[in-house]
Amino acid sequence: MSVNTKIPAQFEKMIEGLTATKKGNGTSRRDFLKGSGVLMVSFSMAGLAEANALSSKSANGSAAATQALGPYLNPGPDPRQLDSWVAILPDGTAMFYSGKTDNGQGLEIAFRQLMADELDLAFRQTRMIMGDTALTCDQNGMSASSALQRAGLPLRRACAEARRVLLDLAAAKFSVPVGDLTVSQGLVSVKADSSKKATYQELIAGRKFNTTLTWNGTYGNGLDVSGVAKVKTNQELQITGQSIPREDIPLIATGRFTFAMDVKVPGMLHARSVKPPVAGAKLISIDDSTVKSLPGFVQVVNAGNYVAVVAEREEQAIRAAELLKTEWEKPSKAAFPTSDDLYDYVKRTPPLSNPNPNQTGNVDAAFAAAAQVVEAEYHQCFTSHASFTPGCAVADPRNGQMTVWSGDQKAYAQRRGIAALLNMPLEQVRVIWVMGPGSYGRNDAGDIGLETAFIASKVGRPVRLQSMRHEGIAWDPKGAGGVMKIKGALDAQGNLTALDQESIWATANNQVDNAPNTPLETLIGQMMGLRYPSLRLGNAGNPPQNYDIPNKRSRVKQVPIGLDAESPIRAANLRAPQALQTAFASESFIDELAFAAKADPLEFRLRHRPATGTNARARGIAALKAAAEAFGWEPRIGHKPLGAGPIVTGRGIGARNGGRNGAVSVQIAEVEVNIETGYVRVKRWVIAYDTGLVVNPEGLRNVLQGQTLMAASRVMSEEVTFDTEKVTSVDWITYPIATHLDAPDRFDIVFVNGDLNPNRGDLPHYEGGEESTGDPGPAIANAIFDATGVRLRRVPMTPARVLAGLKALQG
Amino acid sequence: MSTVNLKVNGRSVTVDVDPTTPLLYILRNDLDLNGPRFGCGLGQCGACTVIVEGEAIRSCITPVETVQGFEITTLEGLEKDGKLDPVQQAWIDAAAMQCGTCQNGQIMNAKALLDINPHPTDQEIRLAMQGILCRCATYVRIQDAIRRAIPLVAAAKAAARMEVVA
Repeated sequence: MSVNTKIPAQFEKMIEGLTATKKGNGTSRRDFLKGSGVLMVSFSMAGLAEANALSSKSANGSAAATQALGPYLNPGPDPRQLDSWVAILPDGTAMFYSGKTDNGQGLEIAFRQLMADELDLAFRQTRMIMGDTALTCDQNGMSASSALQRAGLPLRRACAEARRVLLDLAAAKFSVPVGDLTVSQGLVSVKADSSKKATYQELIAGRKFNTTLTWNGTYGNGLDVSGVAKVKTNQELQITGQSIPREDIPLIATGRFTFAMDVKVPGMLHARSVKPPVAGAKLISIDDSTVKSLPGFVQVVNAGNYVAVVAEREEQAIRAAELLKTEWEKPSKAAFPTSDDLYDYVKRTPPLSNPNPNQTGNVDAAFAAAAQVVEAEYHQCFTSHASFTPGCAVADPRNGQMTVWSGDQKAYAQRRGIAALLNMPLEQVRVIWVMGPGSYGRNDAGDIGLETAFIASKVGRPVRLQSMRHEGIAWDPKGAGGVMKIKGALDAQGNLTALDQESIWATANNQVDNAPNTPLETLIGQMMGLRYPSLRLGNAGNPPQNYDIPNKRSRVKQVPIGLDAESPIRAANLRAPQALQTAFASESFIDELAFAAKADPLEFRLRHRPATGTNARARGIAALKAAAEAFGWEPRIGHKPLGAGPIVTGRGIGARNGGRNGAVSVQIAEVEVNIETGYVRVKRWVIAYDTGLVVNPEGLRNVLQGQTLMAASRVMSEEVTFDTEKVTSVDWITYPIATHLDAPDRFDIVFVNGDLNPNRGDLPHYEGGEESTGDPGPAIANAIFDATGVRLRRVPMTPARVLAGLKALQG
Repeated sequence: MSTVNLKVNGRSVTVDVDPTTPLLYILRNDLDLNGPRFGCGLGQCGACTVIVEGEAIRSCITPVETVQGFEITTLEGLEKDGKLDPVQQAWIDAAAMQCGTCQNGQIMNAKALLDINPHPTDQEIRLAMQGILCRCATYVRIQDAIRRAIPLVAAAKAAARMEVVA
């Protein structure tokens, strides 16, 4: 996969063409700004920013927060106050507040649809502020694409309660019972006398609600509130279910949107970090003589092994970071095994965690009685979040406060981490989430937020820190790798009677919480010498055993992988943590069993009834059938005979069946394999997805399409490579991701509602997209097998591995 | 530091910078044009794409002194007289993004492609766009947006011709 074939030629040609310089007319920068209508960002009261905001996403990045507003609320706005969730503004619109964040999934729009419905407002009468620790309750930001599932109901309940209060005010005003009122688009009127009417803003008249909600005492994902009023039934929702477009897209498409990396604060300096040359190196000395005389140089910031340079201009900071002389002492032993040795290493290394297996039925007896035993071992490499723009934040230390604009999807955790790192009271720290690049979990944004605040605290001026590309891929927290071994027992009829599986993950390290709640969990904290007293366990998982099998056993082990801190391969949550890896094993293995049992892979899955629990099973079966129908699945036993090529085709299924947060996903991939080059391309994707109540169909389709292609990228081309000293995949050439060439010809998405009572008024809105991350890996592997007879059990499934498989088949 | 004269989005500007500075930082930090952005600094991803004399180039590896006097167009400069460029309109119609941080490059490269080849085939689109990366992998929608842009660009050209005749 070549990502830059055109660039050098383009660049050379352009340089060649530049033989003469032409003079401009001498217009100054000031004139340019004035003439082009660019407004200089000015400070204003946060309240004004709220009122003027098109959406939180544009408001949060406007650098509009004033430093004088501190001290900030600790821990934040009170969830018990209705005013913490909704305000009726003087212009009649409702401002909603949520501590969730949205890096492009359209969550803000989906929330506003649900909330507008509860308040009987038109969609255009709503706005939303998200993820500002000073303004929104701690709902833990983005988490496992579960925001609608977890926060949807509390936000709806708050709006239902606001509607109740407003109707009570109207009832008092017109001296009629509430039942005699009707409300539409924020206008309340008396049913019998339509001349008696009042708008929400007339009723609230600039006051606060001052209404207390019942709160479950929990912050974060589990935060729940409710009032007296009940939420509407799904049948009563009118805006919900429409494909309302995102409001940030026109701003982004015209360059008007302010991302986290676009935030500018007057007087802001620029910083770059200097990373150790090898992992675990100890800083011996810094010689700043090479950078002191550089134009714009401000200072070197250093604590322990953390080093950064600060300059007036961005390119000056980059230059200074390149030129700064630092001396490091290499660690006395290898930092970790090589990435090629990873799988043998995890198998030979004593586990830190080795709990007793989970078991149901009598697995040993089932294997003893088996007509056929199938065994396979699957290998998962480390992968990088590799966010499209490397970590970036802006921190302003003035007035004794620390205000940080950050794309970290978990602003509250970052606030706690910054307060602890800088030894500041929480009241003096505010983190304003601003949309950054897709973060896909615990990317580098958490680390960078703390680093920026630290640098700003040392320099005493506002600072913008951005990582370079190699830091964004080589030093971000990683999706963990490991080995999954699975054994299955088939009886004489080809039925699966037992599954026995063991997973070994390289996840035992110092990164346990996966959020920068504490500096201990961040790279800068560890570089400053902070350590947990002993190694901690990470987030590990086993392949889901979501078929109806009488005898099952599973065991998960975690092994440490070299360096216990300051490691560039520390494990942390990456989009559907471990689900992509485990599903690759489990759903590839189901096809291997079907092949051994001489069964069609779809029939084999349906026969063994997906998922557990009556409703989940019904939904799992419905999704399998819907995907098969949409694809036009024709039963086949065994793989196709290998054609003459060079292009051969095949199809494969991946099904997760409700492994995460309630959604059900089934995918079918049709692939083309070039048997001469080993290149695999998915021609067609089919997804059947059951997320319960679909709030915004087009938004969900968008997420599912991207999620699927990104997951395919992770299993087809991505691998974090390392030698025993350092990560060696450092850019888009050494860490190739999917390109435009990998887009399919056709992408069909079918929304399924397989609920046993599909029309129930309280059908939940389950999670929105992440469930589909597990399917593409096995779907592609199964399709390659169908096309060629080659079974790939290690990701990424590169052309070289396909060719090696073909060669092995031919003997 | 020295004086560098630039023509950006139809306007002439002068900046006082190190002339070897990549154009990207001048656009973002001196001219407040945030459309182009830093993705890799290596010319590998396309996030920083701007159009110079009709050709899409990577501003992160382009020394500012080498584009003096040439017509530079950024994402902000596509809009003309308050009217969106047809490519931008197609992008909005197709909702062609997830996080959106790559979209400057996608839009600018598509604009340059359609200026040269107004009726690309699907394969021509893939090949022309393959150097512009999207980590959210919204390639299906981006290619859909380009297909939507083809008739819009043609209609805009026809309308412009009508105006000239009138």
